[in-house]
Amino acid sequence: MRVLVVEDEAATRGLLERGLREELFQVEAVADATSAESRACAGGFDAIVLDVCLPDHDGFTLCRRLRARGVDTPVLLLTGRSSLADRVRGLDVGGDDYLAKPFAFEELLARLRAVTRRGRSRHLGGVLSCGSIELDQHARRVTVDNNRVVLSHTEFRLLEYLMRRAEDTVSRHDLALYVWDGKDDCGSNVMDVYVSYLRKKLGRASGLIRTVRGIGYTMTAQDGQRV
Amino acid sequence: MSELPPAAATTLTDLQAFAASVAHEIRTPLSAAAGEIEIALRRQRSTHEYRDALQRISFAISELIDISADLTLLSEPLEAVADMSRSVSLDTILSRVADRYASRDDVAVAVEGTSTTRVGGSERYLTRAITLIVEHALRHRRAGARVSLRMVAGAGPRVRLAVEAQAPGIWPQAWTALHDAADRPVGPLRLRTARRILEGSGGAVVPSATDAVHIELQRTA
Repeated sequence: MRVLVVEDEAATRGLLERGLREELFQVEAVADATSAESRACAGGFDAIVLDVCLPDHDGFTLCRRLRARGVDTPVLLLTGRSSLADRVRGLDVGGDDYLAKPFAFEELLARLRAVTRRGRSRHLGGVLSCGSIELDQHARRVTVDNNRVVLSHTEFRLLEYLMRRAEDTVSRHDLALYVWDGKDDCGSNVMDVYVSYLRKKLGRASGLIRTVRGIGYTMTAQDGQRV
Repeated sequence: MSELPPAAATTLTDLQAFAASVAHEIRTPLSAAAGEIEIALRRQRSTHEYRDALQRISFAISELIDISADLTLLSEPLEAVADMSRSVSLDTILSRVADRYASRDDVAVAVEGTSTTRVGGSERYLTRAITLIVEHALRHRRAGARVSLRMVAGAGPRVRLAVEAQAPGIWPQAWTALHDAADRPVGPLRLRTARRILEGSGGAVVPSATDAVHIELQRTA
């Protein structure tokens, strides 16, 4: 899931980037409304986390401009202003939800999941399922045909990311970025070794992870041949 | 509020704006510290990761301490802030500002050529005032802009420094705030604090037409 973070305060921006990446979001962060408008209009984001107080235009104005330009990406507004009038204004300009600072990161995640769920069928949190595999993100538990499968931390992150992007072709680069925090060279065989471990542990469901030669992997609900 | 005399209404409006600014300034580092703690505790981490998180929390707490000091400063009598009986070397002040940004490549402080220049006021407070103006420029610069601090005029009764945002410069709204801060004793906490220190020390904040703000300091023997 790709999230655009728009926050001018460097400390808060860094915090959001790190926290969301740890939760397997693909994050792009900008510090002003002008850059944000350009990026958001280019598309490709599943949600926008938008600070209301920005150095060039306020977040309300940006949100209204995005809606006027046909950008319907869910917007979660962040602000220090928590009066009823401000909350109403935020929703009136096209925001999907509103979170007052200081906020709990857990609540930000929950609201992100909620705003994204409204327009999508995929899950961002809770229980992911694909074919006979179920993955509980909160309990960090995986089952295949209701039988528990014990995974290492890396194997779990790998499976979770593939399941979040089920039916998408996930590039080796994206996997390296989000499972190994970009520390793994996507040309090395470390990734292949972990996919191999994962397939072994998934047993009969191993065929749900398909190799897309030269690109990466796809997680499908239907068992299929490797291509 | 409509029943208040105009002067009282203006004062109340200024006070409300100031209170909102203080709340914003406090909320920012407080949110950062709280968020860092929450994220750090979400999973087991290496010692290195915990150390990094603690450093970021420490930085946020330092900002809160600075804000507390600024509020104390604003509550003090002007003569205590100004302390014009003191004279300090400009290069001492600029070196302290330079030290603060030593690890950053987006801030350049030129100290050269200032060792013979002395200005009136408290070293600590003047350093704080200049730092606050630099911080304002950093916060409001366009993406990729570097901020520089240098002396542009050393002759005459006043010494003039320039805080400049290099191309692509600074957002126009930031200059509006600076002009407001220069014209009236309102505006964001940082600018209000900087203005009080500088004016109390015989200096001034002077926004320029370009992407710069000039800081004037009172020259002393």
